[in-house]
Amino acid sequence: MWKWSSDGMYSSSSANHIFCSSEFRFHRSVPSSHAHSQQKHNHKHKQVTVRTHTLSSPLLSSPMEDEIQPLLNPTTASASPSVATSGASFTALLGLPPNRAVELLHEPTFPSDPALVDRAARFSVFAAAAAASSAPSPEVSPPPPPPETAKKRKDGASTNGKAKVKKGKHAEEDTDGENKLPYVHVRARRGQATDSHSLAERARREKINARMKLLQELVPGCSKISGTALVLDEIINHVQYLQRQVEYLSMRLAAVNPRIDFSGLDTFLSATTMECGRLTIGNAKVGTELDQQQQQPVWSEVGVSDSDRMNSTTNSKRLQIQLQQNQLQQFWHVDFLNTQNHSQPSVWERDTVMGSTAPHVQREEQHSLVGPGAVPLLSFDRVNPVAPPIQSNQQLKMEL
Amino acid sequence: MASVPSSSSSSPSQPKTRKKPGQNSSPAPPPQTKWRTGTQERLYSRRLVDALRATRDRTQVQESVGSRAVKEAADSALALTARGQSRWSRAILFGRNSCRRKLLVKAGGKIRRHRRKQHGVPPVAAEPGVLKEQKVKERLRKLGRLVPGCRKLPAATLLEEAADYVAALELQVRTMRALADALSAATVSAPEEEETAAVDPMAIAEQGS
Repeated sequence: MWKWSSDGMYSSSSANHIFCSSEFRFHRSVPSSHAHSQQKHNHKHKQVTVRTHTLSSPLLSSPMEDEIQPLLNPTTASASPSVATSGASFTALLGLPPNRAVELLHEPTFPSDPALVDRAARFSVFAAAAAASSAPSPEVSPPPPPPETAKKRKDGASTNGKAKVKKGKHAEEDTDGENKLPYVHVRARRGQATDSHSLAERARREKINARMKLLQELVPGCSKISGTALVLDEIINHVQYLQRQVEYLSMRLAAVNPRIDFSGLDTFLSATTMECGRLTIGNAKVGTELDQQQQQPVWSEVGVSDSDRMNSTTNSKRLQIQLQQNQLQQFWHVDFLNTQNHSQPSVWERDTVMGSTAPHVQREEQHSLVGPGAVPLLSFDRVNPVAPPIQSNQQLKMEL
Repeated sequence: MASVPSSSSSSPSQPKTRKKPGQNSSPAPPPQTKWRTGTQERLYSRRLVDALRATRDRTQVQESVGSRAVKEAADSALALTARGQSRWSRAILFGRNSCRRKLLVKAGGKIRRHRRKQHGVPPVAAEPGVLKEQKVKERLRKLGRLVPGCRKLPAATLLEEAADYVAALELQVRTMRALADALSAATVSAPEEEETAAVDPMAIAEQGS
């Protein structure tokens, strides 16, 4: 089944038992592929696992056949040759005379892109098949990194993307013609080399193509472009454009920075949702009614040091509330920033919370804050760098 | 800016991110869904604000305008939001911590100050097939230089990192733009007009949402 064939390579415990049950000499490859990351070992083990499939295919345990049968029926009923070929199952091929089977297998009408064929095939099969395996298969089939499983699937995808077909081929070059054996080998398309190297390369290429596709979707305007180099060009341009935007916006923010009231901003952010597409101050005001009355003192302080001192009482109330709200947001400072004990020219300082949660942050404000809501954040200035927690507030008030 | 034609791509790409049946240990969701969610935006915006605040405090003493510092803070915030799951985020975070020189020296390699282009000169291709391959390789290398910390990566990983990075950058630009707009709107309006100015953005925001 598709599931087991792909999973078996990639460390699916459910598939493993199948391998173990069937006779094969390379069972060690399965746990190793299980243990290690796919990328590193797939290449090495690909061939080995290919062999395992080959060997195990004649020894299909009965559960496999049960899974295969339902898949056979809907798929063999399909009309189009490609689908029929893809749906042509193990047993169906067995029933055919060998040359017919060869013809079926090497249907040349497939699109050139193996990844697309892969996906299309998988989807078609799974859409058609109502087998039990179809439930897990949608999860398996369009995995975000299809390349992970594409390595094996690419073999299957070429002619039969279907799970039933054992991807298998002997490492020694049984080329396209050899199909007389009872195994169904999914293998290279007509005219493609089947040696291990090209298989590996094809797997690698498919992985890369899948990732490129992902990138193409991400970057606007890339879906129309064909050709790897041009797409990459577009991507590079896009990345450079984004980086330039970031620089430009950071310049803007730096210009605006000195006049921001950050504590108010925190409230705004918590109240608003940026998904609106626009972070507006007005939005936040709706959320916190308190602010509306006190906005004027808040904004008046912007950039101005003296006038704020008059509003200390009202601001302290507001700040207490913000303080509680902001406590959650302060851990980040601890992680990352090593702020030093800089004094603030702007008087009205904001997050008290920073002090309470960041022991090692040596800002003056923190010393002034002991309890979360107990002490309103007050302005401090250079004159009083370090003061005992509560006294500093009063000192400043006295200075005012 | 071409704002994000796929900004609403979270739903179509969600089927891609369904949980795998446990076979892959780390099924990374595609960057579209991962970075487009509203929670990421909120997370990042909050982190950004914190970073900005800290930056402001720091630069008060050091330099007058720290636009570079703001950019670095924003990038670090972005990398932090990535939780260190991607190479570029780790490179950003650790690149700031310890100077890059130290890391290079520890690795035992020489510190190459000037990126010499001696190998960068595109050699003459034997035939057209090889030429195309070289072009692709060139571009891949260039992409690797653009994405932080991804200089010497194989193509597959590089592309994966690039996808993640692009999505993250888009989030960053979106957030920063909104923040800058909001802040400039707030600070431009005088305190008296505070209420009136508030009303308009509110109305706009409500229309927009």
